Amino acid sequence: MTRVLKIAGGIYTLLVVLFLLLPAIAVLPASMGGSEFIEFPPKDLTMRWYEEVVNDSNWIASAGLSLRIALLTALVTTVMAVMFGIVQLRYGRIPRWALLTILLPLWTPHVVLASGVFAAFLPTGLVGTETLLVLANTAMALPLSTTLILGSFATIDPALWTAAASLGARPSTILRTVMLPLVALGLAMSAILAFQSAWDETTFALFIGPVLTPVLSARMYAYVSQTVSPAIAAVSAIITAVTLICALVFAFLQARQRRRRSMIES
Amino acid sequence: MAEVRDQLQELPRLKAWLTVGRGLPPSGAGGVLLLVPALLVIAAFVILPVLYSLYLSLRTSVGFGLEAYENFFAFAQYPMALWNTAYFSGVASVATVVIALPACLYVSTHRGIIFQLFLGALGVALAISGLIRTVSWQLLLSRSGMVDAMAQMLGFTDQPLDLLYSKTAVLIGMTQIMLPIASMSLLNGLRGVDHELIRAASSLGASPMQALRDVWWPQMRKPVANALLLVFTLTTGLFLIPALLGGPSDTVLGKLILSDMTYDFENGAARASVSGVVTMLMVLAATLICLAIGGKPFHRRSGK
Repeated sequence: MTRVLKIAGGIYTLLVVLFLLLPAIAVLPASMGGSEFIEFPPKDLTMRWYEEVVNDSNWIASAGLSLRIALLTALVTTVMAVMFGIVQLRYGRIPRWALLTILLPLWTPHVVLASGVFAAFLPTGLVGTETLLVLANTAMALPLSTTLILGSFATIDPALWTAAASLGARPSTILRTVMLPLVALGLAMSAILAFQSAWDETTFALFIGPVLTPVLSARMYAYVSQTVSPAIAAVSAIITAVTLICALVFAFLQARQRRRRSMIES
Repeated sequence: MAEVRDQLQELPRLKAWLTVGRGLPPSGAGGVLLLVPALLVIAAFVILPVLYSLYLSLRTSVGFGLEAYENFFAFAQYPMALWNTAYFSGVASVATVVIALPACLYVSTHRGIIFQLFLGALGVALAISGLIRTVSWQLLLSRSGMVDAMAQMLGFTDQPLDLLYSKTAVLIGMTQIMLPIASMSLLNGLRGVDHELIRAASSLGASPMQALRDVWWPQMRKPVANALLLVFTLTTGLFLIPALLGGPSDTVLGKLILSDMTYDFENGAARASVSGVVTMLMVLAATLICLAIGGKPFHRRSGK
């Protein structure tokens, strides 16, 4: 009886994993079809949609903008999260209300926030600027990044700071030479998470993002709300490839961190 | 100006605190200064928009009142969008948790390679943009797409299924897109499940149904409720999936908020704010329901 249950559970789990991953692979055959429309299976294989996308300056401009915004978001988010980490390290803990405030973005639908930000910031003329979008993305990325960084900082022995300070090191020196190297992997992981969430963000991009050259996700949305074409499938395939590389780097860093922790413990 | 000077005077104190640290009491202003940037960003992009929406929705030409809310229910499209939002989010959250729960239970009883592989698959699925996964469902479900081709090849149907632009398509897309997040949340919660108790129950003669009701469920209800709430909250804000996979009658509140806000300069802000506040109220109601489902935390009584 339990054996049957175990096998059934295994098969079911495998099916769930396939359901999770297969749809993402579906963009590949769709992007290589020779016809103007989607067809399955594709009759003649071609790379011309990829050529078309790569040679289209609009897509390239949007990709560049998305990249810049995501990188800035990753930087700003990680710096703010590290400041939380320092407070935790020096005081032992963060005030509960501050932690709850940081987690608020997880509890509110983004569309409500984006429309409120649009209405509130419209008179200031900031709507449509990159700065506002970066800050909005930062707010949305803060809960996960901060949780991750606080986890990394929790593994540092607070006495290290006192030791370094008693030897005459200045706070900036302590941070640079002792603290940040110890949490470097956590920093990298938090930056990747923030980058990913900003790269993906569509709601804020549609409400308050730049209009003439929209970010990649907003431009994609504008295209696919009109028609489904092999060119869109090609764009999706390229972005998916980039994402998978990011995910692999993240997994690699995580494995290294785990190995290092088990080394420290043993 | 005076405030700035006060803060500048605070700087040596902050520096002293950073170097000597432990000597200063935790209530000192220096430490809180480091928390300020992040909290300001959250205040500007989470607290301010919610409060401002509330203000806009209650403002009328003569003062304050519920006029905008009356208008909301007077136009047929808003109540319909409200119903659609509640329907999609409700069904998708239940479907997601029902699909994810057996797999997560299976994986949580394993350690090592199976657990790691499942986590990896979740990570990859989560990393791929929600918009791209929506687009790939558009491709899969379209008239000449993979799902139709497969169904005809296997002989389920002769006619094209024509799934795209229907409520079914929206629900399939939402469930699949929310599955990784729900699974992560469930796996995290299920770590606390004590598998010894289940073995103990069956060795004491409990039938599988009894064990499920008296041993499994009390331990699982909290993670299940958390996952339900997470999916519900996230899907109320997702207007992309209904907009891209659904038909004209499947509009949700988020889509109306976008079109009101960006196209209607006269009354748009007020209308969108009402939709926003109604969405928030719906999430609040879902929170209360999920708190009831979650019940009191379960503790093993013996031992410690």
